[in-house]
Amino acid sequence: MPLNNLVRTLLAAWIIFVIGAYLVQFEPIILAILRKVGLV
Amino acid sequence: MIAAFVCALQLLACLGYGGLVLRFTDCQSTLRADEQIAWALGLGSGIIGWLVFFLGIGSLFHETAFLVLLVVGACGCVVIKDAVVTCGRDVLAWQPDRREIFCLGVIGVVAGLFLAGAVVPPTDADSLAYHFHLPKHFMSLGHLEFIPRAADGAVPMLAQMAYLPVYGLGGEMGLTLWVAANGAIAAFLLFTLCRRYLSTTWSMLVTLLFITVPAFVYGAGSGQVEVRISIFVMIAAFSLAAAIETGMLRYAVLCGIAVGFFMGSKYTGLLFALSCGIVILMQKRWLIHGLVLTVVAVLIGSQWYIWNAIHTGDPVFPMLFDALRDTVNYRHWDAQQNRLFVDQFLTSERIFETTIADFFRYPVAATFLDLEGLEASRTGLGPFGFVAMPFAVFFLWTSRDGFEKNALFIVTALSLVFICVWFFAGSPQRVRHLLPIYPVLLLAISMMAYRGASIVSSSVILASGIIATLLIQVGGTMFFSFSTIKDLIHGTQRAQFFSARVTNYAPVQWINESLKPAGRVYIEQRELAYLIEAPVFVGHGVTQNLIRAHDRNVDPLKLRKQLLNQGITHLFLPTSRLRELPFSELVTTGCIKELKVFESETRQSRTLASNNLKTGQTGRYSVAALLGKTC
Repeated sequence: MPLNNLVRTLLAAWIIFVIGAYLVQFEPIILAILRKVGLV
Repeated sequence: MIAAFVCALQLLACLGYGGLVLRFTDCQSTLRADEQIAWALGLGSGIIGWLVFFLGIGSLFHETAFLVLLVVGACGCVVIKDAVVTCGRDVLAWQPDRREIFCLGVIGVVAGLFLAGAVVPPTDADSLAYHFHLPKHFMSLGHLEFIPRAADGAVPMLAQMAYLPVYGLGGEMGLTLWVAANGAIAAFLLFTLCRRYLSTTWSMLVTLLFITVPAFVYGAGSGQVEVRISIFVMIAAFSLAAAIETGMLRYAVLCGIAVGFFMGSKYTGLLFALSCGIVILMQKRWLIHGLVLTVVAVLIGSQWYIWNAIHTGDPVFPMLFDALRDTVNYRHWDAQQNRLFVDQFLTSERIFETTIADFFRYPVAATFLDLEGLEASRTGLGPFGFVAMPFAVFFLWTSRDGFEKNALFIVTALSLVFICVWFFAGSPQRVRHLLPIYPVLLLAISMMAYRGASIVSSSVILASGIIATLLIQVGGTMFFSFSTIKDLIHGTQRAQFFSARVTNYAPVQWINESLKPAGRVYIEQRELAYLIEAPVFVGHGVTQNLIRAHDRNVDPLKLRKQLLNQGITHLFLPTSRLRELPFSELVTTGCIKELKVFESETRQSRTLASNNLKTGQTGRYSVAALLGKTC
C-alpha cells in the first residue's frame, strides 16, 4: 500500500512537472493575456 | 450556400468512391458500420485527388467535369448505404452518460471554432503561396501545369488535387469548408479506431487530444496537407496490422492504396512506404505481402513522380541532381542553384544532427523548447506524450508478454520505424511534419497508458493529466480562433480582414484594380500569389532558377531577358531592391519604370491580428512596369 501511494505521488509530480515545463515556452503569450485582463 | 452544397456533394462522392474501394478489396464486411463510413470517407478523398490529376492532364479542369466526377462518386454510396443506416440507428439509440455528454459538448465547441475558421477567407502563408494558389491557378488555366520550383512547385499534389472540384464548383468557401471537413474526417476516423480498444468516453478524450494539438489546429483549417495525410496513415497502419495478423492479402492491397495516397501527397510518403515495407517483411508471408503492397503503392502513388520525371528527368526534382546531372538534361536547375538549395534551404530545415544522441534529444526539444525551425509551440504536438509516458511504461513492463500479437504493437512499431527513417534520412525537422503519424501513436500510447494506470490504480491521476493537457490545448484553440470570431461578429469586410493579417494587402488591391489581367506580375512575397488576380511568378533565390533576381552579380540584361521569357510585365518588390543591382541598372536604363510606392506595415501574426495594426514594422514597396520594347 505505501508503495502504491509513493508511485501515485511520483506520477502526480511527473504530470505537474511536464505541464509546467510545457507551459514555460508560452510565457510571453500567457503574460500578454494576463496583462490584457489586468492580472499582471 | 452553394459552397456548403458542393462540400457535402464531395463528401458523398468520397463515401461512394471509398465504399467501392472497400467493396472491391473485400474489406467492407470486416469493419464495423462506423469504421466503414470513416474508412470510406478517407479513401474516397484520396481517390478524388488521384482522379483529378488525370482530369488535369486531359485539360478537363472545368465545372462540368468536376460535377460528373462528384455525382458518379456519390452514386457509389449505394454500396455503403447499409453501414450508414446501421450507424444512424446506433446514434439514435445511443444514450450518453454525463461524462459522454460533457466530452460531446467540448467536441462541439471545438468543431464550432473550426467551422468559424472555415467560413472566413484563408490567410495561412503556405496555403496562399501554393496549397490554395496552385489549384486556383490550374483552374484558371483549365489544365495542370508543371511548376519548376523546388519544395512548393514540383512536388506531389494529390491532396491539393482534391481541392479543385470544391474550388471549381463552390469557390473559395467551398475550399475552406472542404479542408475543415477533412479535419472532421481525420477526427472521426481516429474516434472509430479508438473504439476498438477504449470506451466511448476515452475514445472521445483521445479524439479531443488529437484535434486540439497545435499542429492540428494550425493545419486543419488551412491548406496544409499533414492533417489530410494523417487519414491515409491511419488506414495504412491498421490495414498493415490486419494483414500481418490475419495473413490476408486484401489488407495488403488496402494498405498499398493508402500508402500510395501518402506518396502522392508529399515526398515523405516515400519514407512511409519504406517503413511499411520494413514492417511487413517481419512476418511469415513477407514475400507476397511485400510484393502486393509495393506494386499497389507504386501504381497509386507514382503519378506525380512520373509527372516530374517527364518534365525534368528527375522524379523527385531536384533531389537527385547530384546523381543524375550527367545523364539528365536539367533545364530548370544547375550546379550553382543546387548548392544554394542544399546549403540554404535543406540545411536550414535541419536543426539537429542525424546522430543517435540528437534522435533522443529531438522529442524533448520538440515538446518543451520553442526552438526556431522546429516551431514546437505554435505548431507542435502538445505535452500528452510525456504525460502518458510513465503509465505506458507500466503497461509495457507488466504486460509485455503477448502484446506483440496485438495490432497496436504493429502500428506502434510502424510509427517508430517511420520516425527513425524520417529523422535519419535528414528530412526537414519541423514538428508538424510528424502530425500524419501522431494519431496512430496517440491511440497506441493512450491505450497503453489507460491499461497502465489501472495496474497501479492511478486512473484518476492519468485523467487529471489528460484534463490539464486539454485545458491548455482547448484554451490554445480558443485563443487561435479569437480574432476570427471577433471579425465574424463585427462583420469585418474581406479587404479589412486581409489587411489586418497579410503584409502588403493594400498594394495587392491597387494591382488588382490597376493592372491588366493579361500581364504577369513578378513577386517575391509568396503569400500574395493567391490574392493577386493577374498571373504571378513567385521569385525565390533558392528554390527556382528561371529568374535569378537575387543574384547581385547577374548581368542586368540577362535578368531582363529572363523576366521577358517568363512573360513578366510588372514587378512588386521592396523599393530598396529597385535601388540595388541588378534592378537599379534596369531602372537607370529605362527598362523598369516605377509606377507607385507603398508604405507597408508588416503583419507578424494572424492570431494577434488586432495587435498587428498597432505594432507593424514599416517598409516601402514598389510596383514597377517592365518595358518590353522601348529601353
